Amino acid sequence: MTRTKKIVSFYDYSLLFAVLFILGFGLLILYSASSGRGDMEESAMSYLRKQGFFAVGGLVLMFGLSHLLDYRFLRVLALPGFAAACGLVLLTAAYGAASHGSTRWFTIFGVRFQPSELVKFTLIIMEAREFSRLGSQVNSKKSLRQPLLLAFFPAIFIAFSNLSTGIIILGIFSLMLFVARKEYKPFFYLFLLLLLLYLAAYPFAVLMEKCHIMHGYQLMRIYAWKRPLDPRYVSKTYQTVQGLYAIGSGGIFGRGLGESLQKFMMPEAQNDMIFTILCEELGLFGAVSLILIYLFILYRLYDIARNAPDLFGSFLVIGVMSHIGLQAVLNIAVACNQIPNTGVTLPFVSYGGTALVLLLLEIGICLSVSKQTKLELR
Amino acid sequence: MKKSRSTEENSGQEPKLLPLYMQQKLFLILLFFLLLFLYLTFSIYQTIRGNGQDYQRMIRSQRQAHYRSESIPFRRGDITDRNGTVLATSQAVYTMILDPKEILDPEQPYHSATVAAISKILGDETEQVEKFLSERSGKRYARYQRQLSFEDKERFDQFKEAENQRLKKLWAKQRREQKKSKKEGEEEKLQQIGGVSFELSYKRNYPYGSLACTVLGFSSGDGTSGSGGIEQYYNDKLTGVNGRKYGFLDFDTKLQSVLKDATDGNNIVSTINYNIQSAAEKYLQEWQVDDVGSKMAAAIVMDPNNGEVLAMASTNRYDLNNPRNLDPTVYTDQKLREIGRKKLVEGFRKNYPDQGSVTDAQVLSQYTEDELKTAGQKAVWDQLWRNPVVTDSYEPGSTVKPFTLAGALDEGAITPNTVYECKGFIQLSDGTHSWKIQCHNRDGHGQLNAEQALMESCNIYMLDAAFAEGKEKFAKYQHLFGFGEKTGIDLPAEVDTSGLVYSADALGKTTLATNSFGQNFNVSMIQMAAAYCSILNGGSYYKPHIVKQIRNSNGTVLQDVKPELLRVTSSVKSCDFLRQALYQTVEHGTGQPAKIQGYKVGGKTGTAQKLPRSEKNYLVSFCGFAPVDDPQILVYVIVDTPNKEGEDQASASFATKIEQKIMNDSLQYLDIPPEGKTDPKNSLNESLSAQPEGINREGLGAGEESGSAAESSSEEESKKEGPGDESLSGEGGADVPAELPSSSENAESSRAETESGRSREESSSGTKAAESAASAR
Repeated sequence: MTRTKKIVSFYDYSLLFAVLFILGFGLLILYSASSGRGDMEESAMSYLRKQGFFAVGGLVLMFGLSHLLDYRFLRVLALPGFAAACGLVLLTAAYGAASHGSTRWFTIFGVRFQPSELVKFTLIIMEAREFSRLGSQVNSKKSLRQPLLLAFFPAIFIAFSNLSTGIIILGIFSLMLFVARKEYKPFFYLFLLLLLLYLAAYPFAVLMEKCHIMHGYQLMRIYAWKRPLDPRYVSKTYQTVQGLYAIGSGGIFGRGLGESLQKFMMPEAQNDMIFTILCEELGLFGAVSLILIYLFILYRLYDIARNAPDLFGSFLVIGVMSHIGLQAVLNIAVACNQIPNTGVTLPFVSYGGTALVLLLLEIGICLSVSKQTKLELR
Repeated sequence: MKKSRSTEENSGQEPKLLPLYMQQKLFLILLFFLLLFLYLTFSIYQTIRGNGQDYQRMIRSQRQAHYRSESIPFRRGDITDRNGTVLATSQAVYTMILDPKEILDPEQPYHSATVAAISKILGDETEQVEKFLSERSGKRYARYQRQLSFEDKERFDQFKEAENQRLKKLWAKQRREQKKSKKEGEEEKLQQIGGVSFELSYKRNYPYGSLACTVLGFSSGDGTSGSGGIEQYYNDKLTGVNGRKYGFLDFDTKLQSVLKDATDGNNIVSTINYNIQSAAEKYLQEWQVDDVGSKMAAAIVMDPNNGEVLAMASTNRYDLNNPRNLDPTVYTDQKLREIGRKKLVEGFRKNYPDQGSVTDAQVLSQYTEDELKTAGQKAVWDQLWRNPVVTDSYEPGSTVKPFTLAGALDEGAITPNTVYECKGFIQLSDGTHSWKIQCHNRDGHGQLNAEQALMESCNIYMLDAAFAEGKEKFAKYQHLFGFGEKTGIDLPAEVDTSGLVYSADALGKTTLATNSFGQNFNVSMIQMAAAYCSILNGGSYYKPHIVKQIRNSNGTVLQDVKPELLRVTSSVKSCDFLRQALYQTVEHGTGQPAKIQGYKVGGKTGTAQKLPRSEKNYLVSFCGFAPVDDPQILVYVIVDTPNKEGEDQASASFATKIEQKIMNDSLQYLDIPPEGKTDPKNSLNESLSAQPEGINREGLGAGEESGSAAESSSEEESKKEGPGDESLSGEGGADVPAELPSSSENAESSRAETESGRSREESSSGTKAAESAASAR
């Protein structure tokens, strides 16, 4: 190495390859999980083809974003983007109400599009802009109002039709806020509260029923979660139980790729429950491998965020990190029946074009941040 | 990673842009995720460790329902005639199986499309299909329609594939349009045809209906068993082994699919010649329907040189494709009940002979009308399905005379030139009793040599020859020719005549006398035909057989049935003499109606009076062969009880005419070159007004010297009765010669049948020996 000072732009290839790897891995599992259903509808390859199309499109966008554009231009786009996303959510809801049914979908250019996904994406940018704008002012209570409202309004609105997305939006915001603010205490209390809720939900439900304050059907969701094999809740827990069967029967090394039987039993095998199919086919080994890739991606994002050239970049990456981490954890927790069933998809793996493209765009932003990180080599 | 490490290095040296507390918090987030992931990994591990086996089992049982084990039926082998004409075959038929639960499941896309497809292809009403499904809504397996042809199945499968493609495309198109028009709401449901499968089975089919019915027999619906004929005798060759198709989840819950192909049954090539068989049946039917008709008539055609049966037919006919179908106009319920009553009473009397005090009405009171009808049906079926050629026995009459001569000639008792005088009767006496045995020609044939005796069918000559031979040798020859023994033909239910033939010890003078011309012992048609064959081929007794070859389902020959030489019956010299004598019998003797212009035909007539003698029923027969110098075909015909009154029945020409027609056709079918000019009219239309071989009326005495040595066993299985023993015990009395009074004819037929000993006594007291002489012409 020369001792001359040389400024090298840093591009995080580790993250890039980790993402490429998880994408390929995801497509493989998706193909296996969806072939049965795909064959019934069109052809065994149909789901893979569609997802592959989005993956390629997403990758192109990702490279374009990370190489050609500086992430800082997002500062300008943040507000209009966020506003547009919220507008779309409202529009979809209005349309849904008009046609007497709640809906999460929005079709544009023949592609079904989930506006709530776009809200997650734009919220990260919006909040990053807010926090970076506020700087150290973020610690004052007064200045906190705006970012809080920005997150809570869409989150609560979305939660009506799509609880899990609302929760994730709030989760991302909470984690970003946690980093931004100096204090620990309120977050610690929040954490304790959530933990208590998690642990006490079932005993509380039982107590409520015993005291005849609430009826069984009102507590269905909690009962179904804690007693998945109870025949009373079969219709609610079918997916969960089949998922547990899949995980349990996979063993340490699984049945082998393509050997899953449960994919024929689960209507959402290629979607929310894809992790169980992975467990069935590749066993604990496959599950741990996937988790390690997620952890590695999270670590890379942590590293990029730490070394980002400005606060905006850092918060962008923190937002993306929270997004990916939360979704992965929640999805796997649902698959293991550690939390009640919510419709969270597994990042990079589950079927869904909008989510995949937006995730890749987020990665593109992070790569762009990493690219702006200047290294001084001695 | 190298670059990232360098960032780490950097971080230590330059103050970070991110404040320290943020860095710490960021690290806490990373740690938070790490811990969560660790916890989840642990929870996955717990799930696997704690419940892995249980869950495997659950999955196994859950999936097992989807893999129904299916039996693949074997195909029962074909039966063909000797030239490959298919007489019995198995056709593939398909049963449509529906899965009502799956079809009606609103989660599944099958309901409407499947119902529409079924009604379109099978032409059933939609409501009918819906009704069928809704009645079985919880079931997973329901046979919708049986016996669909392969074409129906193919049509459905092809339609299903095309229609499913079309519906899928339609659905995809609708979805696209829905998307384009940004319509939200309920998605159009995909419609598909499904929940339908087909099960293969085989249906036995007999292309020629009733042709060769008694030879072939019929098989059960599932093709695993046969009733009667080749289907029964060769059942284990015709049946195969069912295959099996099943999927199961093994211990690792891997899907294992196992297919074990069915082993199809073997095909059987019989020795039957389709053409000759049809001819035989045609002429028997002609006789039965258009001519005089009879209680029963039967024919067998054999190849004398190897014991192969070329045709075997009788007037017992039924449709093999529908063996249980009785003509309701002939077999009314009334009639069936009547037959049933008779049968049940008979059965009771047989099983409880000591319960004489129980009246018929008391016996029948135990049965309902339906049971009576069922019993009647069974009795009719038994009668229809039996093969008289091998199952029935009867007294043969004069057709056995060549065997009497063969024995006497071979033993040197007589020579062809030995002359006996026939005075028309003979008086036999043992000192106290005496019998008068008459020849059918009451005036006597005068001086006869052996050939003339055969030509004239002289009873006295045969009797003298048998006396000259002695009873031991006579009995020996009876057994050499196979009388009293099973021929071993490969057909079921061959009659056992061992009790219906006298042993040497039991042969008294009169029985020896009557046996010599074919009365008082029983034979079956197949025994007679096989014995004749041995004389025609120069003394080789071949085991008669009806199966020529057994092939596996691919056509590979598994077994060739070779002629099986059992014994030598007679010397070549005697056989040559007999052949010529039988030729003369047809040319100038009693067998003239059997002549076929252009061929040298030989043969022997037979007229036997049936038991009970008082009823004056006759069984007439003819056994013919051609060509005389090198016999290729033997045709043996019996006519049991022609539809005439009394002695009018006793004309062997009934049988001879049938034989002549069958022989004529057979010669032509087998392309046997004629030795002279044949009749262009095939001599079929020739009016056969040969001289009658009827009974000399005067010779017909009212009685018989001794009762029956055996019974006419066409009614009952001879085996069970053991009449041989009984008749032998009664023989002592019969052996006492006496001039029997000719007046009484009061032998009670029923008693005579069931109690031969007593009937013998009665008949001996009330009948004349002359009758048997007359009847055995």
